[in-house]
Amino acid sequence: MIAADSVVRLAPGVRMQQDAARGGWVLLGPERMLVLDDIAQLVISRLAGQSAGELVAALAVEFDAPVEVIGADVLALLNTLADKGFVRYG
Amino acid sequence: MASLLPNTLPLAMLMELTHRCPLRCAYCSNPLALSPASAELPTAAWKAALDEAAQLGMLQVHFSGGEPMARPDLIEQVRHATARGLYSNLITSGLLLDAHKLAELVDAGLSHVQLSFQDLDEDGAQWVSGYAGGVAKKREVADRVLASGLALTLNFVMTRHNVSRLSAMLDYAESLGVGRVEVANTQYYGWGLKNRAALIPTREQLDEMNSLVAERRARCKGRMVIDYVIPDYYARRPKACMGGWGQRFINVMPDGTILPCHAAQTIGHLSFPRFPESSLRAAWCEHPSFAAYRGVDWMPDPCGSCDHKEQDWGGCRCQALALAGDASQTDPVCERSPQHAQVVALAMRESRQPTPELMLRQRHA
Ligand SMILES: C[S@@+](CC[C@H](N)C(=O)[O-])C[C@H]1O[C@@H](n2cnc3c(N)ncnc32)[C@H](O)[C@@H]1O
Ligand code: SF4
Ligand code: SF4
Repeated sequence: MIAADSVVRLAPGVRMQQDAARGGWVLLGPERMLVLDDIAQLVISRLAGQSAGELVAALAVEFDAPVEVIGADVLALLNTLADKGFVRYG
Repeated sequence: MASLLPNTLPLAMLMELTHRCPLRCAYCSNPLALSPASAELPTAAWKAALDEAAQLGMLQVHFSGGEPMARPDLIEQVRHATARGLYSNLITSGLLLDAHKLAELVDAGLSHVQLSFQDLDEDGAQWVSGYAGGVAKKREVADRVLASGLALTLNFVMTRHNVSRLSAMLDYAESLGVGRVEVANTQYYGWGLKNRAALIPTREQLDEMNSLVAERRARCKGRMVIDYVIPDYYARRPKACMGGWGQRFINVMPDGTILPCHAAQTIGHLSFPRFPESSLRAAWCEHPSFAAYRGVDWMPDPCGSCDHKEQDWGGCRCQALALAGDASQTDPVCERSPQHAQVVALAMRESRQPTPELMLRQRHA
C-alpha cells in the first residue's frame, strides 16, 4: 500500500499526455488507457521527486483544505493507479 | 478518473506489418490465408497510416504481425509514430531482437515491448512453435530489454500442455521485476481454432490457473499486474471483443486491408476496404463492414433484450460465426446463448481426448 512516506512514480512504459481529439488528459500504458480528471492530472503531474505526504501537504496549502481530507483522496487515487499498474512506489 | 467514454473515432491501431515469422505457433491467431510478402504495404503507406491515425486522434499503435521485426523498416516506422505523438507498442516473439536493433528501437522512441513466450520449457516451446532453443534466446532478450530501460510485458500463451509451468512463468516474471504479465489462454481463431482439440485446457486446469493467478495477484499487488485471459469456452459471459465492433480499434493487415478486428475476414459475407485506396476515416465512418455490428441495434435476442449488451457488446462476431454458424448471433460462450451448453461440452470433450497431431502455422504464405 502507498503511504505518506512512499515515493510514487509513473510505472515504466506509462506516460501522461493531452488527448487532443477528445480534450483533457489521459494516462497511456501497455494495453491501457485512462481518462484523467483535473485532480488526477494534477496529482500525477506533481509526483516527481517527493513523497506522497509532501505532495499532500503542498496541495492542502494550495487548496486551503484539511490535510486529512486531501490525504485520504490522494492515497486512494494513487493506490488505485498502482493496482492497475500505472504507478509504482518505493 | 473515469473509464474511457464511448467515442466515435478509434483510439488505437493494430498494424499487422507482415505475416512472415520465424516461428510456427500452432495457436497463432493469424488467418489461415496468410498474406504473401509481395502483398505487403510499402513503408510510405504504413507511414501514411500512422499520419492518419494521429490526425484522427488515436493514441496508441501496436506493431504486430507475424513478426514485426521481420520488416526492415520497423525502426523507421516507430520513429514516425514517435514524431506523431503516438504511444508505440512492439508485440514480438523477440527472436530477431538483437542488441543493435534494440538500441535503434530505444533511439526511435519506442514506448513498450511485449515479449511472447510459448512455454518456459524448451521441449514444450519447440513442440508448439516448431522452433528449437527459443526459450533461452527469449530470456536473453528479456534481460537485454530491461537493461535498456524499456518497459517490458511478458506474454505467456497458455494451452493444456504448459499449465504445469504457470507457477514457474510467474516466478520468472517476478524475478525479472517486470510491471506487467499477460497470462493469455489461447483464443481459438485462425491456426488456434484449427488446433483447438490439441490445445484446449481441461476444466480442472482452468481451476488451477484461476487459483494460481489469484494467489499471485494478491502477493504482487502494486508491483506486478497480471492480465489474465481465460479460455472463453469455459466463461459464463463473453469478452467485450475489441471493446465493441468498430468502437475502439482499427486493424490494418499486411496488405492494407482495414478491419474492425484481426479475424474479421472469416466473416465471408463482409468485404473490407483497403488502405491507402480507402482512408482510415472513410473505412471507420462510412464502410458498411464497420457499421455491420457496431453498437446494439443489430442485435437479435437474447442480446437485444439483455442488460449487459453495452458491457460486452454481445461478445465476438467471429466466434459466433465459428460456433453458431452465424456472425449475428449471440456469442455462444455466453450462458444465455442456446448453444452455450454445447460449447462447454465440446471444450470438456476435446480437452480430455488424446492430443491429435498439431498443424503448425505456415512460416509464410
Ligand atoms: C499474432 S502475435 C504477433 C506478434 C509476435 N509474432 C508474437 O507472437 O509475439 C500477437 C500476440 O498475440 C499472441 N497470440 C497469438 N495467437 C494467439 C491466440 N490464439 N490466443 C491468444 N494470444 C495469441 C501472441 O503471443 C502475441 O502476444
Ligand atoms: S507464429 Fe507465433 S510468433 Fe509467429 S506470429 Fe504467430 S503467434 Fe507470433
Ligand atoms: S446475452 Fe448478449 S449481451 Fe447479454 S450477456 Fe450474453 S452476449 Fe452479453
